[in-house]
Amino acid sequence: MKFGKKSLYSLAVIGATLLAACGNGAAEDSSAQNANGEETVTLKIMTWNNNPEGTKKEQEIFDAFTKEHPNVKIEQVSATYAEYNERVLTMAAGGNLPDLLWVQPAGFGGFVENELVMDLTDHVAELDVEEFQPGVLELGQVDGVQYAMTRDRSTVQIGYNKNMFDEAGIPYPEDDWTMEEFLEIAKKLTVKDGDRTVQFGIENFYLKDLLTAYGTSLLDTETAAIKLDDPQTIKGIAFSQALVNDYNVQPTTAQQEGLSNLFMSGVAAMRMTGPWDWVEYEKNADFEFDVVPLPIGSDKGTQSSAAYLPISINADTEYPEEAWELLEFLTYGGGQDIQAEITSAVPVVNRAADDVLSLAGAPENAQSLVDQLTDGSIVLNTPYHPSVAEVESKITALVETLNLKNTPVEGPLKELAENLRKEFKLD
Amino acid sequence: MELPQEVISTNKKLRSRKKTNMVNRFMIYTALILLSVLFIFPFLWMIFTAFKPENEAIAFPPSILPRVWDWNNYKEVFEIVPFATFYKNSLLVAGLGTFGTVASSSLVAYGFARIKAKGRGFWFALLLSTLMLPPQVTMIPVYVIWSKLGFVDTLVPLILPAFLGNSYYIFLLRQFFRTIPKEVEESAYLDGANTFQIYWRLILPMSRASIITVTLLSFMGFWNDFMTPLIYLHSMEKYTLAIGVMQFQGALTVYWGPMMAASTLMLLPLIVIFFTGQKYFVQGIATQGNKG
Amino acid sequence: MLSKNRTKLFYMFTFPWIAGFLLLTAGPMLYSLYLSFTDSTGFGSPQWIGLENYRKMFAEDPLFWKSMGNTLFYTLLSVPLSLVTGYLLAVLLNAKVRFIGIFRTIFYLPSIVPTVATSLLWTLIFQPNFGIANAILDFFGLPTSMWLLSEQMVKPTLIIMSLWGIGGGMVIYLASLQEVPVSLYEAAELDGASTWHKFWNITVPITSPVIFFQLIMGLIGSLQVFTQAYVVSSGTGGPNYQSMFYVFYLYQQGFRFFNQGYGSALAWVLFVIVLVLTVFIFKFVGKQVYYESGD
Repeated sequence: MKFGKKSLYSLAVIGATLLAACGNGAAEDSSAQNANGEETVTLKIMTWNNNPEGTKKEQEIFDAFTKEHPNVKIEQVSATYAEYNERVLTMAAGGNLPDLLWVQPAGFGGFVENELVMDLTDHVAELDVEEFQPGVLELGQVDGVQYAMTRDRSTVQIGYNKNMFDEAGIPYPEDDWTMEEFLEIAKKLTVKDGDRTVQFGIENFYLKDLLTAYGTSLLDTETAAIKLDDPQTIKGIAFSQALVNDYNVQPTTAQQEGLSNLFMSGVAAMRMTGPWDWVEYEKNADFEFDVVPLPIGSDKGTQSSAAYLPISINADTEYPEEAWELLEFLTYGGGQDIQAEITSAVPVVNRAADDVLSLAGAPENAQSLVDQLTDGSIVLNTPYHPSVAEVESKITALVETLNLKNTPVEGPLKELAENLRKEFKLD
Repeated sequence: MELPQEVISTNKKLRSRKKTNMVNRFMIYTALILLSVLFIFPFLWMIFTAFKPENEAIAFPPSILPRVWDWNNYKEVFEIVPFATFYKNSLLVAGLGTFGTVASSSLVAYGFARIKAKGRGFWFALLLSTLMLPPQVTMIPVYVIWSKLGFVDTLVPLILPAFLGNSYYIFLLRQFFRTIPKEVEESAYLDGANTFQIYWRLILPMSRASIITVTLLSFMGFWNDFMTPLIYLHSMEKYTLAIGVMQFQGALTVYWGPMMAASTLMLLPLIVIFFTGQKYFVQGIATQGNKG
Repeated sequence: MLSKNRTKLFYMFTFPWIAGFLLLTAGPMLYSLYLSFTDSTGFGSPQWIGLENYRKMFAEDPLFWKSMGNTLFYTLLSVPLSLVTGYLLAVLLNAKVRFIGIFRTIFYLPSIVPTVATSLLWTLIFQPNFGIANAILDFFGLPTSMWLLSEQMVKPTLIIMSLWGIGGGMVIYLASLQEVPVSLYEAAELDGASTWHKFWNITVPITSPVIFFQLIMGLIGSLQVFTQAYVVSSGTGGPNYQSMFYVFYLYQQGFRFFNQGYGSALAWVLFVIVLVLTVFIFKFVGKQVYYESGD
């Protein structure tokens, strides 16, 4: 009897496997013959969701490519943004990394160092590089070698609540306003009710973007040398601390805890924002907003950090030619002309720069963003080095502690800089 | 006729027991209600937020009850992602997986609990040790194994391992089985039953509460697990609810309204299942085989 | 019959697990052990570097000690706390009153609500300026706290948050309480036993195998805690690394910084610690467990 039960058990295991395997598509051959006898190729590209509808929208762009190349189908392998690295690591280890993949800038250095992605220099040499907006091609290069193409590049700007400005009688900021002017405006727009601040001048001036506006960065963007103890960097970090603690124009961590969007809720007059936010504001904000480039903090003029999406080709792809065709379409060809309308992605080619003006929710001063795309004020602020993520996390932890306790920054920063140089050999 | 002294004093005791039962009841209800308010709060907040439009969901200061009971988020959930498909996949994975887990884990647990053998201690130590290594470090090698077998982007890696036992539940059931008195089994052997019959006809029915517990917990585990589907499933049609809900977590922002709606929808079946299952937690039934 | 040596039978019953272990678990575990002696980034071919990862860990990595300290602190407090509260809750929910089913479901709920959904709620509750937690303290004239933003309070706050999840353990205790024969209680009552006496001398011993299980699993689980802290601190382990738990650090090394070799080494150090503690508990506490079979 027990043997009977045992075989029943084994049958159940086999049955379950078969049942589950019914949903199996793993053994699919990604190349087959279609009716014309041409080979049909299925390219896989790994993407993440910028918003819930993201995957669907991207597929529209891919379908447009398939219209031009009927023998190439595109399948998205979609991952979540936060767990993207896990996906890449496991798929690379299992040998089934997709043919193309979106890249998170923080991981790019690691991918290149581990030879995960294809060298695209020869392919790019065949393109007319004048088509690209200034600074775009460099975003996909490591040590001068092209390992990724960017399909979407814009930057952060300051978004402001026009109603609040009107009520306080403050004229709207000019595109070339300075850090001092910014501080003055922020102070005027910070309102206290007794002990409590009920309105903040600025919601969040992220440190790295502040440093970019100051013309500096945490690590040198070409050599990855530590610039943490650079006088200009220290000045920027001190200013960032002062915004919160001395001037109170920006909320402390305590005041901000648990709150998702002070700008939208009408509690902050200004916010660091980009074209990806415009749709939300148009939909959900009950005030009028506009944008202006980051204030100037050095003699380099307006400087703000690039917000961009690099795409790479898997070095071991079976279809390098088709993969390049798709990549070219997305970052240089037809894809660039339709992406603004479909997914609100900002084009990187000069001919489509004006599409920004017709993005969903585009404010009156959207032209300032178009200008920035072509005048070279958008810069990289983080080098592509495998240790960057770790170094930055140590710096952030220290800066946060200094801000929380409001202690002077110069000493600790210099000390950390020395330690980082020794530990990561970055000088 | 005079009642014997013991009966009189027992009756007295029973009568006074009835009175303290009233006081006990009141205390119990009070404690339960107070604590319930505390415990149900996260769930209620989740449901309320699901009914709020996005700007109310993130408003400051936060509101508790929605101003208007807006069903829009729920609509969006079904429109934006194939949520019904997610339900189907989750049911498949959780259903088969739970069956496999309960069947295999109880079998193995009985072996560890009652069958003396050389090497039993060794294997048991090994069983426990598999629980001691953080799963993050074996994630990639296990993936490579499934990948070489060709089962990536299928539901197989999610379901098949269930039939090979789950260390946690094996340990749990082993503890439960060892609370059953040996005499029960010994007398069954004397009556001529073999080990499997004892396991199947005697032990399992007597362990109703623990088996139900493992069933419930295992189902919840499969339903809520997102790491395994995340690693193995690539196409949206194969996604389970756990990853489906994460679609509402964009790269830079969380879409709270629809995410809470999706989470609520995901949670509802679990509540029903749990409520049904816990009915079987009634004391005394399990011990019926005990007397004699 | 039960005391005979029945080796073949044993292997027949445990064969599914042993097969699974050999096929799916042993290999990966050994592989990760191997990786711990290499400089693997997760990609490409790892180079053997011997004990370098371990040396660096003990001699040069303050975060290793910090995260270990954080985890031990958390474990020391949360294991006894959740053990006791879970058990008492189960006893309460074992009461034969009407609607007990609804109450049991309510107490179980928080343990199955997804972490990301509740993390926002927690940050709002513990908001230093307008959260309920401080409002309550204020009402009673007690000093308020920065909770999750305070270096001293962040771990205790996380422990409080974890108590909401004792539903799972409660269910297990509830099941074990069913196994206590009602006849024993009745006999004790006739002998004039008090409630405490019944509890301590009947309920606890008979359910001790399951309490023991919860102790071991609670220990193993707490030493691996990290998700809640990760979400609430936005992946930073702050403030000032005070909520950086060991497995959190391990995960960061392995999957954010591409140091798989180092991450594996961290994992195996944890393994050894857990193993030692578990053996210790088996030897000393294990003796106190009462198995009806007298085993």
